[in-house]
Amino acid sequence: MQWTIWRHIRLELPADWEMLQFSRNMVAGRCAFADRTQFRAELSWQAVSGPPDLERLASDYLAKRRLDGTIAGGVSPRRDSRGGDVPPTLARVGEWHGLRCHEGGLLTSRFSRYLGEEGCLIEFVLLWPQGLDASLEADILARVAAERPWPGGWRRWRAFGLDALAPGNLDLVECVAQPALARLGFADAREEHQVTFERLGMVPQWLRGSVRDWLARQVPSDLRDASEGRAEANGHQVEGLSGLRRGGALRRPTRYAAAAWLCPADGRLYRVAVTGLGAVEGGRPALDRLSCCEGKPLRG
Amino acid sequence: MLAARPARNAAAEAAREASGGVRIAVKRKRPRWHVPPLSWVVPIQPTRTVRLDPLGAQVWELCDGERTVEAIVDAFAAEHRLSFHEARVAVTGYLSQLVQRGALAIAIR
Repeated sequence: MQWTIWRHIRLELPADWEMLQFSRNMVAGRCAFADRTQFRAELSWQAVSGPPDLERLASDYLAKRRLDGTIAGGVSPRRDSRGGDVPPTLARVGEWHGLRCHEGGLLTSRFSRYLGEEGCLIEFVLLWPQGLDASLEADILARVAAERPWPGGWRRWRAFGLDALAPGNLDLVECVAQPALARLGFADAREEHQVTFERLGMVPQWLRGSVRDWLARQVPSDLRDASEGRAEANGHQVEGLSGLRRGGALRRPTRYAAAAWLCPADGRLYRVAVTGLGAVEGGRPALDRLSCCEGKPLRG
Repeated sequence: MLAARPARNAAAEAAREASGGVRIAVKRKRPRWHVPPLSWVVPIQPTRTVRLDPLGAQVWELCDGERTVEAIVDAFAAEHRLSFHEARVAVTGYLSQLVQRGALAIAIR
């Protein structure tokens, strides 16, 4: 099982289920996870003003689907892979209310709950191509929780191999998930404060020269008074670079700091770049915002 | 798709390059209109060259007609320390390009 933290929601899914679709929208959105062959889970969220009647939501959904014929009424004619009939049934698992039924030919668990800390309704859909695994379903649902803010208002994001702490007042404005490239970018509305986290793979294929040289090539063209630094942290040689740049719409001078390192454990190159936030001297504070090495606790 | 078995075009000739890449000469099908007297004045190269960089060559060499796409993805992921889906996106995209260029054929059993 591995943790994913997205939109301040923490979930734990089997290690081979990877996030393939995501939404950056904090008000309403979804992300979907797939195993090797097909989608297995979908988490969706919707900001609401108060706790909804979840039981009613589930029964309304069932009635609506029966009406449009997506779900067969009574006992489903299909059988799951273990040979048991799976009639559409309303169910409750802990704080989750929902139903299990066949949708689109697949046995589906569809549960929702109200996440008070985040003020949103979340729905979790699990697909069971090999038949219902009730214990995995219970495990997954039991471990979905709101990810509380860290001291100082930091918020943790964990996806695509990145495990990052971003200032809570910044929005996720960029997310890139491509082969050997994961990037999360956070910024405020005026783009005066920005944080970018990057994780790059297949490093021997493209990195020519040192990490320091590469980091120097990533800095914005308007950077002035740049100074370099180097730190050793947990067996990682961290290259740092800082200076001043003109950021935001008003082009006011703001601090810029970046750090990059090659993780010996997973062979990936990590980079953090921070613009406009306080306390970004040298590479170390930037490093504290991003973890590598699967299994080790987040620094900072 | 993951169960398909890509095989190299048996009629293509491959030569390894010093860079680690591979140059593949894929035979072209002669167009119907390419008959005398038109063929006397409009020459057509009998082969088309497909150049693969070292990474592409790695994928191409894994396509032996026995390995499934899934096995190729696994091998590529292990070699480059990528996750399964990272490697899947890269490899399947590349395989489809090679099929379009005639360097590979896909067998579905």
